Amino acid sequence: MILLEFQKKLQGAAGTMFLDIALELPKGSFTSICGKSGAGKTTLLRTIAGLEKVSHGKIIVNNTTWLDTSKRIYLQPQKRNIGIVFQDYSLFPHMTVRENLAFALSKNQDPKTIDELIAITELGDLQKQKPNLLSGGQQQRVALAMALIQKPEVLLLDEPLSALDPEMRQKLQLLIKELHTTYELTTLMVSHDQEEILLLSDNVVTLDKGLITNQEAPYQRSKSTTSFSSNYQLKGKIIALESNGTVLIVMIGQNILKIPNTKKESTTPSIGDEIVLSFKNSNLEILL
Amino acid sequence: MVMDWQPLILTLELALITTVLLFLLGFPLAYWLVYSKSKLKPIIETLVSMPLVLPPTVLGFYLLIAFSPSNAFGNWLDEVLGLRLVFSFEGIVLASMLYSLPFMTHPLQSGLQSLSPSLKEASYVLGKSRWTTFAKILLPNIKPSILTGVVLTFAHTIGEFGVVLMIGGNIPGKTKVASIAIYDEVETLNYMAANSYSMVLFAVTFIILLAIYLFNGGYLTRFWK
Repeated sequence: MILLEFQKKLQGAAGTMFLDIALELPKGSFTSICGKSGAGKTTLLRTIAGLEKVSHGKIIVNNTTWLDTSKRIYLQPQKRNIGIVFQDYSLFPHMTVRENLAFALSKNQDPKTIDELIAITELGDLQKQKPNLLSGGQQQRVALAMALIQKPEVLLLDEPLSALDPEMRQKLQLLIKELHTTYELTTLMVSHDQEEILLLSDNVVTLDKGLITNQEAPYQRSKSTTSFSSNYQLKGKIIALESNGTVLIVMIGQNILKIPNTKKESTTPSIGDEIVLSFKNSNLEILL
Repeated sequence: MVMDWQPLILTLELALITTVLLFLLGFPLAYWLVYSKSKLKPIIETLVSMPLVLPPTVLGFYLLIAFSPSNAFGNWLDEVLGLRLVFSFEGIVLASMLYSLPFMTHPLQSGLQSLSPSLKEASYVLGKSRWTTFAKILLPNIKPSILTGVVLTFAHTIGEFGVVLMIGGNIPGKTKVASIAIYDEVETLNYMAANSYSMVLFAVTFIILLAIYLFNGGYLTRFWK
């Protein structure tokens, strides 16, 4: 279990604010942290890693105290058993992929771990390349492999997939999910992507101006999901109008639908409007 | 006329020793200037840059006064450490180090500054010590800056005149470096000898600077590949 309890003064664009964190995360849980930029998400991760100091608070990970200001305990980042993937990946540019992983290995570790992670992240063909020749997705895979090579207790991901195209994003989401389970990690991930959050996490924390405003399981969070009911609702956005507005082109997730405008009122819909599609259980058919 | 090679050899010795010592001093200094949050930093930064704008004679003059055995400090150096820094080779090495300090420190400083801080942090999180991080991550990533600092210091020391003349004088084999020899030859209207020295200095500095631009511009690696 991870216990996080700390306050830290932050200088944001909107002036001084306090990051005030009180969280208990079960071992093996996957927590997503979302919130506007400048809310303190990255600072939260950096504090757990020991890269930021706090005025007072404590961090206890699986019965080991990493930080306790009242007892003057501050464990150096080097001593904390964590893996971290930074937003810019932070691979070492002068080393090949394999050398990066070899550097990441701790002293007493079996070098076979390198091959194990190269296999699981499918980096076999790229191990002799330098990072600047790799694509974003490939760099991200190296960063993940490096973060995991020491078999950390805690994995910290700072918007790990934000710079990738949707296809690569989806592929890596599944990889992260797999790694999280295989290595029995407790993971904290900063993310803005709803789909990613829903797919990966079992706990969502929302930060606003340094304060936790919401914490719950992701399903309750998504308003469009209801329990089994006779009525389904899907949220979408109008991206085009046809035939004088009697036909709507609507985007729902990544699907585009052409539907008749059944809206009764006189107001004409316009491009960019958010709409809710509602349909009955009786017509529902699931195809695979 | 046979050219006396001694001043040129002395110049190269001075440049070599100055560069090595200054690298060892300049690196910790540059590291401190980049990562320290001390309030003294602006003052140290200013002092490091002073030799860029100060006439070398000013530096030489104060060093001369400070190290003169007729002064308390110079006397102490002389009697306790047996080190006489005026009109000696050791003296011009020390003066050269001070005079070339910004040429070594500035490139190293900007090299370290341009590194992403997460590079260092990523290494710390992987459990690597400060020393390992420095030697295996920071150092290899600022190679061009190291080359620039080393070569500029070397070349700048070759071209030194005022500060060496002030504190070293013109003692053949000890402090008479090439730039002073040129001045000396011109004084005695021996233009041929002055020209020989000048040509050598011109050629050496040109080659050195050309080498940095070729290396840091990536021309060499491109050529080899």
